[in-house]
Amino acid sequence: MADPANFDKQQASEVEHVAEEVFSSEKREDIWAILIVVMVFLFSVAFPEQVYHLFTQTLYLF
Amino acid sequence: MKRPAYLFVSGWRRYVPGFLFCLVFAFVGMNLDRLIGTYHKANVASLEISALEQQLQGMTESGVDDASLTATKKAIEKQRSALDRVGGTVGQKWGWATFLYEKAQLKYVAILLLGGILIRNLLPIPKTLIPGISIARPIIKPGIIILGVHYIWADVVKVGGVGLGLTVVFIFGTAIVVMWLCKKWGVSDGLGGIMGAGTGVCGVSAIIATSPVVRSSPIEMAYAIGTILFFGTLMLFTMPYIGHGIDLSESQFGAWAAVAILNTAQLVAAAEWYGTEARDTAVLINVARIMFLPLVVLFSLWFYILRTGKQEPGHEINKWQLVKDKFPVFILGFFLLVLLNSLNLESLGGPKIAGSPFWAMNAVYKWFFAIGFAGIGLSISIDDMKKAGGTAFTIGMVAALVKMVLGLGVVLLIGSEWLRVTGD
Repeated sequence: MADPANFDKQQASEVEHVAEEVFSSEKREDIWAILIVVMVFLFSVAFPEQVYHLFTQTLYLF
Repeated sequence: MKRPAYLFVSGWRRYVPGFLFCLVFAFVGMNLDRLIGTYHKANVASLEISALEQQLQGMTESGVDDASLTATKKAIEKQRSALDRVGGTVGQKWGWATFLYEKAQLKYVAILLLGGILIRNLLPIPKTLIPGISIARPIIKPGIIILGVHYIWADVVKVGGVGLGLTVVFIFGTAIVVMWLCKKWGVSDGLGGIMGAGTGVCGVSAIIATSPVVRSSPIEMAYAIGTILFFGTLMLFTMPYIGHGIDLSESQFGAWAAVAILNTAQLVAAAEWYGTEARDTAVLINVARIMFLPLVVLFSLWFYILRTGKQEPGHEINKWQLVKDKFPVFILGFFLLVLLNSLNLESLGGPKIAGSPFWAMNAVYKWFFAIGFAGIGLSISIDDMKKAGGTAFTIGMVAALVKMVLGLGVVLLIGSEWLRVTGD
């Protein structure tokens, strides 16, 4: 029969692993979000008219 | 050169099909929104042009000043160009578009959310699309950062200050009450802890951040996430209608939603649906709210472990490290843009200054939101929501509902002015 103490420890470490993995993915999302904004910022500084036109006209079919 | 492994996820290729599907869906949703909006404007123009022309004739006959005449001529021109866009003539009607746009509020938010739910639950979605759909939701984050160009520090101090007050009272109030009730009614520490954090702060992120501290099991996490998803979806679709029903101003609705809706993406969706002013207030208060995430994790640590003496000897928890690990870094980007906008730099301009970098950036955020909303809609699975249940579900739902009602009372007392973002 499985030792309940061991089972508890195993489950705790499993949760810790899942949570850390998911949370590190949240951190990764945050960093990607910042990197994406940096790219948008640089393009907007270099080509403001084109960026504006792309997102308000070109991407719309109607 | 060493690759920054932290930024990449293994097996990233499996996310591509679902993410592309969200991009296409967002593109379709945005274009439908534009189509309905264009015909709605044409419908309004078709009705107004005759009235404006009569007004202009009357003004010419009575000899009013040139400025008034020019203003009326400009208004007619604007309406004519709205009509020209659909190739229509005065007197033509597109009542369906006005009904969808104004009465049914079928804007891009609703199209993507409702459309996404219908697609996910009625059509056979291939399993290969599911991982990619789940990564579309966080695309809202770059949109939130870019929204920083809408604010100046005066807004942050005024609305953020009020929001901070609301946040402290409601976050800790809800977290304490839920954790206490769960303990009283025999709910396990693992489930009570994540339910308290989840209903107090920002839903799923808070549940994930708190779970290792209070040692929840995976099934408890699934229960808590199911509850938060269920409640958030319910609020997302009912609050905008309640707000319109009781004639709540946009800024008041934004604050109310920021108190009541737990998940950032769902909150942004509800507020954007209500209006741009509502969204600006909601985003600012939400930023104040998510800053509290590390503190709620610390509180859970104290409530369940330190206070009860359950800490294992030799396993000291570094509290500063815990705060650092759980801090949502993306809001630093938001504050940086608020700072740059507040400095009023000529080289960066502003969201309303045509041809400036911030004006260009302001045109982009809606597309990030659209991709995120497509992700939310397509991830709402009725089967997942069925995972919610039990005593903790009841406590969480009751606490969230009480918070919603109290939040409404408080924003009505505060009034619109203290909650309005001016941006200039």
